[in-house]
Amino acid sequence: MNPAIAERTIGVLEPSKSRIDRLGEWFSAEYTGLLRFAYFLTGDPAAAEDLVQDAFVRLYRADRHIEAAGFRAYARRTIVNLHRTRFRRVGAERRALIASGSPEEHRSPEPTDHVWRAILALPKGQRACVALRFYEDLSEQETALTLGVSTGTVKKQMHRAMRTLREALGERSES
Amino acid sequence: MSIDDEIKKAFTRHESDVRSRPGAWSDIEGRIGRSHRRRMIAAGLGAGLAAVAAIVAIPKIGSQQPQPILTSPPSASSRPTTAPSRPRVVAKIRASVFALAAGSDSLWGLESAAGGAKPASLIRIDPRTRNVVARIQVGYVPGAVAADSKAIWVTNGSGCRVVTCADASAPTFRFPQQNSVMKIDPATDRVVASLRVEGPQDVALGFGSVWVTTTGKATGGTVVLRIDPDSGQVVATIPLGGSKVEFAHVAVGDQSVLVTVSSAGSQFSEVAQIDPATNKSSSAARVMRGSTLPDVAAGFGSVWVTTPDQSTPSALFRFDENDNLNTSTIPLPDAAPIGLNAVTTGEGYVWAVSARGYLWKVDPATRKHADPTTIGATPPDPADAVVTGFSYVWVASGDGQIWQLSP
Repeated sequence: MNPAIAERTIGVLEPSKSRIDRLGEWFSAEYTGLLRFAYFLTGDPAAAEDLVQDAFVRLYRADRHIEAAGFRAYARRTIVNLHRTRFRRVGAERRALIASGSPEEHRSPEPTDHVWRAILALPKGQRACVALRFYEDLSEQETALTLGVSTGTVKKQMHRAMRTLREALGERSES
Repeated sequence: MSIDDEIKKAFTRHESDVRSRPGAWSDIEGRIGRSHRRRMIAAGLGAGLAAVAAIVAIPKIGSQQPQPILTSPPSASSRPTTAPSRPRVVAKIRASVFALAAGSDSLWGLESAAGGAKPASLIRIDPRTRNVVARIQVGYVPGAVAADSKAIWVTNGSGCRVVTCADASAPTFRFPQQNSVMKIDPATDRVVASLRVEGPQDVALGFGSVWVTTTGKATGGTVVLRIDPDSGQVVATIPLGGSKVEFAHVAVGDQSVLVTVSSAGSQFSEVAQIDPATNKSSSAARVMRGSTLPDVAAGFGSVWVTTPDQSTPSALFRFDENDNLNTSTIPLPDAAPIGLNAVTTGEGYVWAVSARGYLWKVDPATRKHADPTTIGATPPDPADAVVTGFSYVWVASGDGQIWQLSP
């Protein structure tokens, strides 16, 4: 057998133990935090779990070296990107279902917590910024790094999100 | 309180909405393992093509003998031993059905009759658009549906779907609404034949025949009818015994036809095996009975029977189809008193649904299962039927919807 081909073939026969082990360690350390972050993005526990699972599979398949220090940001960015993709796909499916007269899609119960409801009503980009800023206590720079956008974008998103939340919560307190 | 504090507190309040599930890492490991298998196959194919190219090319170049490149298939030891990942819900279709079949490019579901006021319907669903494209009137008490590329078959019972209600209270209908097996032409969506059959229950297709379980009128035991699909003639009558039998499920395997025989009052159910070459039956297994009747499926060289286990009401009993040996039980952790309603095979896995509304996915090679997927609402709606087809798994839920899941 051509040694070069044999090496390549054997190279894919077994998943790299070290990569899986390392991912397993990160899973132990980060899973709960990532699950909460995904939940804050989606507002749906089941969708959050699927999202994080997809993210770990994506991280494994990414075939690139990820340092432990950068894992947290990279994982969150993967979750945001997957959520964006899924949002488009689910949106298309929902439109197809509505067109077919079956508008039943994953639908979580309407939240009764008014602040929470206002947060979940934010556009997904703004919600991601708010979650990272207020729950994860990240700076604007760290939020920008995590989302893969500029600091200016984060500032703009945060400004819009806070204006929306003030209006929503202000209207509630007035009513 | 400032708005910043309100937002922070809202996040903190909802931290506990999600919790880390014990099997989550196993799911991920399973998916990573599968992705590796796919890569391995791709690499094997690539290397194989290279080898073929070498074999073809080298003799043309000279006298050098070709050296085949050996790319081993995945060995049992390289197979992932972790649990499979959970299936993903893709969509739900508003349709209240209790039985499902896939065939003739469509998904077929049996709707219950509305209080016996009018006959029930067989609905036809386009799996691509998820639209109900036809509604075909069948009997008042349909029992089961089976489909292949040529026809769809529906059994119509005599008044009670499961023969446990008092016969005196059963409404009376006339043939063909009762005691019949209907044949539906998928080209026209019309009933093209109604065969008079006493007490038909389940139906399956295979070995060029329609197999129908019935309650034998004379004995009260289970009798299997083998019907020619073209002529509608009963070509064999196969008595399986039992007394006052309840709903008998039937499944077609690679080499045999499998039937469950459950007599009222017995703690056990028999699994009978029919040789299609001789139409002779033999007892293949005996399983415990729980609060739900055992269902049977065949696939991956095995027979899979729903049964309770000592530890759980939801378990699968498995044995080799060819010799009834190499038995094993796969417990699917669940809480009493309810158990599994149905089992099927397809899309690379064994699938079972429970009265609790769980969908279980079992790897037939490793016999490991994924954590259950909850189907329906909470408190649980029972999942009544499961079928695979068109690269998806379809579950009939008591919530009045058919759930479509990606395996």
